[in-house]
Amino acid sequence: MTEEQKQVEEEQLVVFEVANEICGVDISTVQEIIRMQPITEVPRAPEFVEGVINLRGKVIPVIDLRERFGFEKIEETKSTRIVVVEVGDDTVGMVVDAVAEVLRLPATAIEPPSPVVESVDSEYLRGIGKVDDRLIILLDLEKILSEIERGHLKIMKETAEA
Amino acid sequence: MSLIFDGSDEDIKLFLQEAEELMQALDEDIVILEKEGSNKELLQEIFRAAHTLKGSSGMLGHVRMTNLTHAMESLFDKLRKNELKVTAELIDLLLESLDVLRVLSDELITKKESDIDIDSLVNKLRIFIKEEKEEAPSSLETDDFTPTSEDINKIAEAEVKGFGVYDINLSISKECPMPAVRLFQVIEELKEVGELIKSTPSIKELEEGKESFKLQAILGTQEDEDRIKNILKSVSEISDCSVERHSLEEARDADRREADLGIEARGKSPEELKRMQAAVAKTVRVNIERLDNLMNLVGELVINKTRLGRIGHELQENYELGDISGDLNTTTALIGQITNGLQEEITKARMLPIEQVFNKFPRMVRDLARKAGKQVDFYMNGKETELDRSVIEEIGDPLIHILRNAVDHGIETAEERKKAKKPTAGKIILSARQEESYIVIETEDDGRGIDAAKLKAKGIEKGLIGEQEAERMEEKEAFKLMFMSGLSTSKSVTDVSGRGVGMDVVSNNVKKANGSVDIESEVGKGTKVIIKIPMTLAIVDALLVSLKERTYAIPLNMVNEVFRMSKDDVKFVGGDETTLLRGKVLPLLRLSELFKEGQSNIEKDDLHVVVVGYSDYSVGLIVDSLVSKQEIVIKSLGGYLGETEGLSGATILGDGKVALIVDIVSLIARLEKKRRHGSKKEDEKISKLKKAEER
Repeated sequence: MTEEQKQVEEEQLVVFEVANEICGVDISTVQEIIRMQPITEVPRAPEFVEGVINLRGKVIPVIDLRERFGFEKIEETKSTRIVVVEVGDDTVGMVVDAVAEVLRLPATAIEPPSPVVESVDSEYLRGIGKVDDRLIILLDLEKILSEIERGHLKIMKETAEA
Repeated sequence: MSLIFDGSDEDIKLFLQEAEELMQALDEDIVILEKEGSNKELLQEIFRAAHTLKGSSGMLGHVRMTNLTHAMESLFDKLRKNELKVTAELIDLLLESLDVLRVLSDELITKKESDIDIDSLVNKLRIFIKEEKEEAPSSLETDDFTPTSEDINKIAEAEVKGFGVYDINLSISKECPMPAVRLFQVIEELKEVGELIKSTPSIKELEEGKESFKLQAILGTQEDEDRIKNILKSVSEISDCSVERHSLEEARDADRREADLGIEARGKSPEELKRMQAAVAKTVRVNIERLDNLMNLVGELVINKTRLGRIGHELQENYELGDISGDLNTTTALIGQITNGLQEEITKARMLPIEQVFNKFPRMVRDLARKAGKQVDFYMNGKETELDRSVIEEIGDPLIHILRNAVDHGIETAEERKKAKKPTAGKIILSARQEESYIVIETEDDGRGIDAAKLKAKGIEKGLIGEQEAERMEEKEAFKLMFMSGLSTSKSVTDVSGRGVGMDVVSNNVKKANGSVDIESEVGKGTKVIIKIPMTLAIVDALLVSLKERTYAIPLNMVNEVFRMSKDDVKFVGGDETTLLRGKVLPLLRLSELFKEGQSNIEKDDLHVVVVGYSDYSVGLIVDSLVSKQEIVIKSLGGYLGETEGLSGATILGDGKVALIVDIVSLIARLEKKRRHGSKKEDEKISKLKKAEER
């Protein structure tokens, strides 16, 4: 890599696995990564909201990305982690199968979402990153999380009507 | 048009803080003034406030504000000197001016000129000043010649330089064809020998062609009186002249007003003065965010204190530890005490006197009463009662609505009152007091009272309740109909109340603050609205209950009692589970069903029931078991889950687990709605049957 290329805009990503897919989110949104914790279920909350956890005295909601993307739920393993992200004013935990690494990715290696990745709904994608021959799905956190809200509202409405 | 002010942002911030306090004080004082028009001390205070506002707005170069405050100050001065009488119109005008001042002070934030008209208001104020002046014996000489603060500074400067300061009065002979030229000449001569501090007319006015046969001037000079007289006499066509040593009496008086602390400070012993300064230095303004953070940290501490206690307990139970175990317990207890103390202090630091909310009410009630053409005497008690800041925020709106209702609908017109043999002026009493960890706020009026029967009829008409239900309804319950949206009993709709939107704001806000509202009323005698709210929102006592493996918290202030019952005592009424508790029907609700936790307790013969009640409606919640009573720190569920039905938040338990807090208020509101809906349906059924029979 020449000096010039290094200057090119690049993104730093936290890369993790969800059901054999490799996903990445911008490192600046990640507050911390913690081990799996006992999760308190919240009745009447949207399905993909696993519940809430105690993050050093703060109560934060946790979502399961497997469930979010429509994958089968699995028992937690040794490598299961909660990636705590901050989006807007909210702090949310995301359950992932494993956290792999922190990666620098030049902007040129990022392509807009394409139908290539069918496993994850393309509307949650910000783009596809290419590293060697691996493909990294860049998640659009705001979308994923705002969907939570929308889903939540829908459920609320249903219960109100019922 | 954008505005540019002198002074830094910091100056403006300081000014705004000061101005807000002063305007609030003026607001209150002017309302009192209407009743105590000749209260000298009050007038002095009002004058001082207006004067300070004038001074500091002038410093910032806020011309329009200075102009208005100047006019107000002059008016207050007249009042102070008894040259003007307090009338309702005058108070109206002053209050209007105050509102305009608020708009003007906002200009300092927006930096844009609002389109508010100052000139006409200033003119109106001037008319008052002038009108009375003709009646009052006015001294001719001091007309518009009172030294301004600037002049006083100049005088002081001149004195420092060792100059003598003289008042000069002279007249030009009436035959003089061009008096202005002569006056000009006089001024030039005076400037030769000293410093001309002030003159009327001024050089500028003379240059602009102002005609005058008289001159008033203040001169600072090293020459003596005779010398000045001689100089003046050297100018021809002067008919009369006097030179006197300037009396600083009046100037000093004005100066004294200028100094903010001055009046109180003067005439006090040095010790007293020192104490006053110390008292000022001992308070600091703290950003509210900081207090909130501090409160959160203390919340953490409370949680961990509980956890520490548990660990100690477990250690003692399971291990042979000897002395060290006792040490641990003592230390834990001590930490507990310290934490409690800390929590109490911080809770107190967040407390504000309810005065903050109450203070705007006298003005509001007065305006409302005047608009409605009614006479109202308004009294307030317990202004010093303290409440948590967050509760204060919630309580303002409900009180506004209650007071509006009292003035608009409660208090009768003077004629009606006369007929009813009541004093012509209605009475409204607003009071606050502390009862244990609650604050009770009462609004009492001696008006026409609420007619429960009318309310019921209205409720039926609006489809809020069924006829059958109305019949069964007790008076107290009927009053509660007022809190439902879409119900208003008064025929007249004013611009402030009567649209039926007010009273539901009351109950909503109060519920939000975990409080309750009650109404007592007697037709012809008056109405009393009683609001009861907890002093603080952040930390509450709660009853912990369990459902399967999970723990839930129920705010203790919502819990009426706890009892156990056998499965056989559950009765079914229209498909709903109920039971009899001391002869009264108690609806039952399985918390597990509500939270879809599966029906684990259905087989159990022994049921734990927690009776929760909001207002007069109570419900028995069936839970798996009771855990303990504990102090909990309420935490929000965050933006994504914040509005989840049936839950009002979460808390962290001693073992670090999260427990959800059951939202009793919304739960009961829902049940009540369902019940009402149900009974309406029932009524419909009955009336249909009746109709069928008739046929």
